[in-house]
Amino acid sequence: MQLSIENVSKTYSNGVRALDGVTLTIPTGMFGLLGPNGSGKTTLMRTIATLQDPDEGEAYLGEINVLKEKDAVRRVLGYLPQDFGVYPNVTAQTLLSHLAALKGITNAGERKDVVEALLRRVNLWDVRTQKLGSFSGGTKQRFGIAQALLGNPQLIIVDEPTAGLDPEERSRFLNLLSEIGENVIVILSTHIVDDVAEVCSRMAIIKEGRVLRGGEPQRAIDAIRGKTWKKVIDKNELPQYEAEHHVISTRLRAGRTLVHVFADERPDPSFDEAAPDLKDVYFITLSRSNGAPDEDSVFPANAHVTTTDGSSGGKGNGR
Amino acid sequence: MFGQILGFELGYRFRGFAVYLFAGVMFLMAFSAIATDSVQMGGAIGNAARNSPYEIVRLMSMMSAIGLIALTGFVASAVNRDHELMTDEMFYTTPASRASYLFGRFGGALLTAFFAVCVAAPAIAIASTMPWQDPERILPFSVLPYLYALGVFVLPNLFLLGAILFAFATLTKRVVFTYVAMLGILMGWALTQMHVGDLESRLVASLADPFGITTFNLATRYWTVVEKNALLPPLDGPLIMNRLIWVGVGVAALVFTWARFRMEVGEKRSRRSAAAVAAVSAPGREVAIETVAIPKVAQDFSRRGYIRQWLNQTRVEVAGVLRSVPFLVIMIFGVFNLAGSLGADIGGRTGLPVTREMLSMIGGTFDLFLFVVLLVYAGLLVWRERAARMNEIQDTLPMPDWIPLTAKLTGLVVIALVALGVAMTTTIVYQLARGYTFLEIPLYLRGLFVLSLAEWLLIAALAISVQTLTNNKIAGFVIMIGYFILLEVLPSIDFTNNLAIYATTPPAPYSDMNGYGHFVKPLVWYHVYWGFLAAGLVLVSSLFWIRGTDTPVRLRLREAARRATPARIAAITAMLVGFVGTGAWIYYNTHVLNEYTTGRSENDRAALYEQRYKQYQGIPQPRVTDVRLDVDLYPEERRVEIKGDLTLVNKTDGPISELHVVNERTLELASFSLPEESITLDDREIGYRIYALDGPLAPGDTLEVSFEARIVNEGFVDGRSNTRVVENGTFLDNSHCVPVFGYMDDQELSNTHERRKRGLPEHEDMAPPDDIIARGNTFSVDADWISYEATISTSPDQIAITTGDLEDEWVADGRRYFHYEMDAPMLHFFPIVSGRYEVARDAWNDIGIEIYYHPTHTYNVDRMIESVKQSLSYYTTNFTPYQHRQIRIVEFPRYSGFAQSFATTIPYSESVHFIDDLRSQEDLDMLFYITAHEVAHQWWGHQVVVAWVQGATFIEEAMAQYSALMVMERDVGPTQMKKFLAYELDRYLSGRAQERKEERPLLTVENQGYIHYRKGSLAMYALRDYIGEERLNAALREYIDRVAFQEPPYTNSIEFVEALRGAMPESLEYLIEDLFETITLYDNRTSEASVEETDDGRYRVTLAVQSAKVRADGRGVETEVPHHDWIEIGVFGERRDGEPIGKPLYLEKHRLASGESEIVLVVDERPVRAGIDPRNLLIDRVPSDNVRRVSS
Repeated sequence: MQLSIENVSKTYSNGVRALDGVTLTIPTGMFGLLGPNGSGKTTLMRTIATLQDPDEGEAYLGEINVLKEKDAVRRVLGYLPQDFGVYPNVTAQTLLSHLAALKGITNAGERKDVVEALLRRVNLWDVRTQKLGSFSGGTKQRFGIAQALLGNPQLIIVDEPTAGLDPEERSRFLNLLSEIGENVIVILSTHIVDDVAEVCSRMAIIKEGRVLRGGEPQRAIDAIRGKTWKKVIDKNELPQYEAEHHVISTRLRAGRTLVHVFADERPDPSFDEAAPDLKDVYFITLSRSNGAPDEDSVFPANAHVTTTDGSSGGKGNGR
Repeated sequence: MFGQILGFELGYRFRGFAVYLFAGVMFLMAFSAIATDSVQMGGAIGNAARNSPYEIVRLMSMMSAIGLIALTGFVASAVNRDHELMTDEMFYTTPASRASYLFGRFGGALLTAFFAVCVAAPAIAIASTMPWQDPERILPFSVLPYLYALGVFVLPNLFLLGAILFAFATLTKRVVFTYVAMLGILMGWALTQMHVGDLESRLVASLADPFGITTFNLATRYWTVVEKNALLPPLDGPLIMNRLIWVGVGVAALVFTWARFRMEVGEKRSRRSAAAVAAVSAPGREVAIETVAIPKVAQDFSRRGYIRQWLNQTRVEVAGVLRSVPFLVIMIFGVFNLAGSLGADIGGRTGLPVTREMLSMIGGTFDLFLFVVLLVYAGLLVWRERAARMNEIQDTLPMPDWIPLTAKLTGLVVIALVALGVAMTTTIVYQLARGYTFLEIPLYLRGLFVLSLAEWLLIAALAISVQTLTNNKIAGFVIMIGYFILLEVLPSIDFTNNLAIYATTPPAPYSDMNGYGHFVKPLVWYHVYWGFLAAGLVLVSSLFWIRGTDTPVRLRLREAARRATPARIAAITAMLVGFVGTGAWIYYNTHVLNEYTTGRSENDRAALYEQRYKQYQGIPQPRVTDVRLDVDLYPEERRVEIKGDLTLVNKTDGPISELHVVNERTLELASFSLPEESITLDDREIGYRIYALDGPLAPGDTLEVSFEARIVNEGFVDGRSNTRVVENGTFLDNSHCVPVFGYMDDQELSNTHERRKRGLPEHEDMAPPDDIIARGNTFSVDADWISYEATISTSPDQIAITTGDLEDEWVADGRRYFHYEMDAPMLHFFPIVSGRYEVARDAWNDIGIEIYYHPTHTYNVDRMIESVKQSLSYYTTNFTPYQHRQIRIVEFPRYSGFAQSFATTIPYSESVHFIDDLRSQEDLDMLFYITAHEVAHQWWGHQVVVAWVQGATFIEEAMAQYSALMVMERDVGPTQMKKFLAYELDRYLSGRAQERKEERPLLTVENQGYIHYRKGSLAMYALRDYIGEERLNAALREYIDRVAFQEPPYTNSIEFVEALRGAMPESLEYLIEDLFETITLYDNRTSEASVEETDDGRYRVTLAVQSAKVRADGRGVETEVPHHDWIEIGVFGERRDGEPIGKPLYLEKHRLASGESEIVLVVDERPVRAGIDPRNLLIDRVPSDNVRRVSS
């Protein structure tokens, strides 16, 4: 089963063009949707989760027309919204059980088992009888994860799931997701590059409603290997470097500034070669779309829109 | 710093739109209340000028109560805003002091609300200048009443309530508790209002009303027009006390808030982080946890699964509401309000807690709360997921679209069910606590869980649909409140077509005798009709139910179009067809089969009647002398067939050439024995027909006529239905079954305003007492004394009763026949009654007594018989013998609430005293009294027959009151008498304050109840006290002997007063003028009372008393008249049982001059109280200051 999104666009009534001809094909496994705040990630997630209709475009989950057969999608969907609340006066167990019933788990025994398993998996078992209103952001987030996993979902959409989780919870959660993601489609929407780097076998970078690039994270990193350089400079030299080079990132360290620049060749001998990571890919991709100087040097636009190793690639252009 | 914060708060408020919106609403309300008659704030504008000081203060004080709504919003958020927006941490860390922070914010909120309410003042002033105002009812502008209202009512009220609400809001940090507190205040207020009816708790009510409105009403209760137009209530007594108490409470609330408030972030937010810490379990267990496998589960998406989902969702909705604090609080207030009204004492008597009464109590006191619950929770439930931000999770669940909507609707209905159950439990507990065990559970079930619930279902459907369709919580609330206001306002502008007002049905009063009777049919049809619309609304709403995050109208329409499957469209169409179809059927019944009448159309008809036929008033007509009827009642069909033979005699001294036959609208005249060709006018619309007689009827000649007529009720009606002919408890009188010969002026429209609208001249007064032409008639225009005979048939299980002796009774063709014949001449005034009765029989001497009562109303039958016996005994001893051989009381359903005395037979409404609870010694035994009053009418009304001129009811009603008082006094003793007379005084004084036309003295009273009943009791009781019972009764006996059974011209009040005057000793002759010929009031009070022991062990009492006597004209303008009258002075010892004031040590009438007098008396025992006119024999607007405690 795979999810294919074709040329989906959405403009809000206030004129914001949230999605602009998005085309993606997402196979089974963990898929990272990476983008800054306001890039259209949530709109895309909601569209797939049957909460919104696009102005144009189509989406298919296997044979299911996502935009027309919403109920069929919902039967196999697990969704963790970016921003959600809970009823403050009920306990985690009660609400989860209620949601399980609404997910069609009508057998009381099964419902009890699955609720218990999920609460244990997200580490809420010990607080299952506490009112949800007393939960902190991270605890509540874990509840959200639990409910998204109810009822054998084939398509799991998690929107900014690691926000508010402490490192330990985050890694537990990512592990849980990867475990489940072996057999189903998991879309992980995030602005945290590490989430994607750690668990996603595929990804897409989205900004201003357009898919800037896609593919396997590792291949994207490989593509820029040998093209990222670093140098420690004085803070006041930075404007000059930014003008002369394609600066990917800067970091202040002990009063001096560490800059990473992107260039096919070592700009000058004072630069050392830096080992690239997904962050570099991300920043290069974002800055390229801002009209950075070496626009067409590394990523031919067309090469990155599909994420399936070319097997079904080339369907469209992210721009 | 305080100024800075206050300024900031004011600026913040005035930049928002709420204050302007609210000020606009206040302007509109106040403007419309003064400018129009259709909008009323706390009652209609009475007889005073529209912008009289009284009306201004009254309206402004009401507006301050309404201002509570804005005030609550403002003060609730004054400090809480920081808490909610989490700006508190910022503000608390500024150097502002606690006091300046709190009071600055409070002050700003208060002033903003005050501004909004103040807008009512210019609204009133402007409304008074509107060109359509009647200049006679507008006074020139004066600023004083406005300042008075603002200073004495508006500002203190807003301050007090603001302070209390602010305390709730600020200390609980929960907005919802603020609204709960507001409801609490309103309910408490309603409770104090309820106890205003009880004389003894009036002072408490006066002080307990936080708005001071009760205080104001009580202070101005007896004000006449002139006073209302000129005076402002003086700032003394309960009014100033009330204001001081409540401002004090406000200050205390503020101080309390200040003392308890901490500029700290609440515990709640800190607790939340603590819980999070607690939630992280020990790291050692993690491994174990991670390995738990998530089991595979089966998901059921069949129809059965959907129903499970729906049940689950419904359960969650209901549980959410039932556990929510506001719901509990509203319910508690509802129950409190219900319980409070159950216990309220109305007019000094207590009814048995019969179930129908409980149902109407629930309807009157609890329904508003339920409406509020449904209104609020419709909004909260529709928005529940979104408010909790659970909507994205909820909306992606695999449920059909209809589940959330129908679950919420079902949830609301279940909530209504629970609320009704709570109300029922409350009243049942009350019934049992009162020792009343005839609970009639089936009636509860029908009344609450069928009728009420059906209505609540409709309202819940509307509320949910409105919320869904508008997709705006506030708009949804506003529309529902608008709907509620419409429900209240439309009837007052005479728009009562229940086909056009959602969820309304024709009224369906329940009667113990007749159940829901013929009202069931229209009820069912209207409910089906509205049910179709409600179902249609819900179906349409399900198309628009928000699912997902697309909310613009365009996208909702697109989604709705997608959801509109052929099946749904078919369902919606079916509902519409059903709606229109049942609507058409209802229309056919209410507008085609039956005439649709409203107050306006009835008035139009009355005007038409007058315009067309007033010309015939008083033309010579023959008079009825003999009535013979065959009446066939078909109670199940609500049909009556009447055959009548009448003898008419020309009693005039000229020939009569035409006969005017006028009939009641419900009476269908099928045939009349005069030839059709002789009809010269046949107005079917009004029911007026003129026959040209075949040769004029010469003086003294007799004309025999016979007629056939029917009363039929086909289908059902909207609005007033014929409640005279019903399945059980039919009660007709002669006007319903026999045509009248001649114009009846009592059918004319009397309301001045309505007459003016229809271009009719000012309504004529009744004829003056000495109008010799008018003295030719009693209240009947076409007969004097008649002979009467009737055969009535009815269903075999019913008994039919009419005036006269039952001569024969038989069964034929499955029907039961009764033949009655009257043995003596009687008025042309008789009832025809039929019902399933139990009969209690007794006798006094050789006069038979029969009580025909509903089988479950056994409670007071014996007491009724006792009253009849004592009455017969007193009246035959003191007046004249009774003219008939039996006397009957017959119960009829509560569609009307009176008792009426026909010769021998007294129909008595089931709502009047049949269910009085007579077990308490404290309560007035009104059953006993009213029975005695009705029996007295056999003398005053059936022996003494009065001309229908001014003063007629003085003789008939005031004398029936006097007679009954005498019977009651023998039975109950002085405490009850004093209590009874205190109520009579109160009703008289408040009655004259409400008079719209002109107060008249008893001598010329025009059917004004507060005069002929209330003042009549007081005047006759006082007269009895001054001249003695024997002397008075002797005069009355003489008068009856003289005028009883007389032929016209009939006696009048002048003759009657002359008869009384003859009984007066010369020194008391002024009483005739004071009591009967003028409106005379006293202002008597005792300013000092002291005692000292004399040497011989007795007690010397020194009293300083003041007395003033005034005469009022018809509008209440008073002129003091110096007097030298006999006024009672009393000294009383300790109070013992049965003594209203105390053991009388001295009670004598003294001749006192106007002004202050000093009186010195010596009594044998230690006096406790003393004073002037202690028993309130004289009419005095402040009866409470007549007696005071004696100081030593």
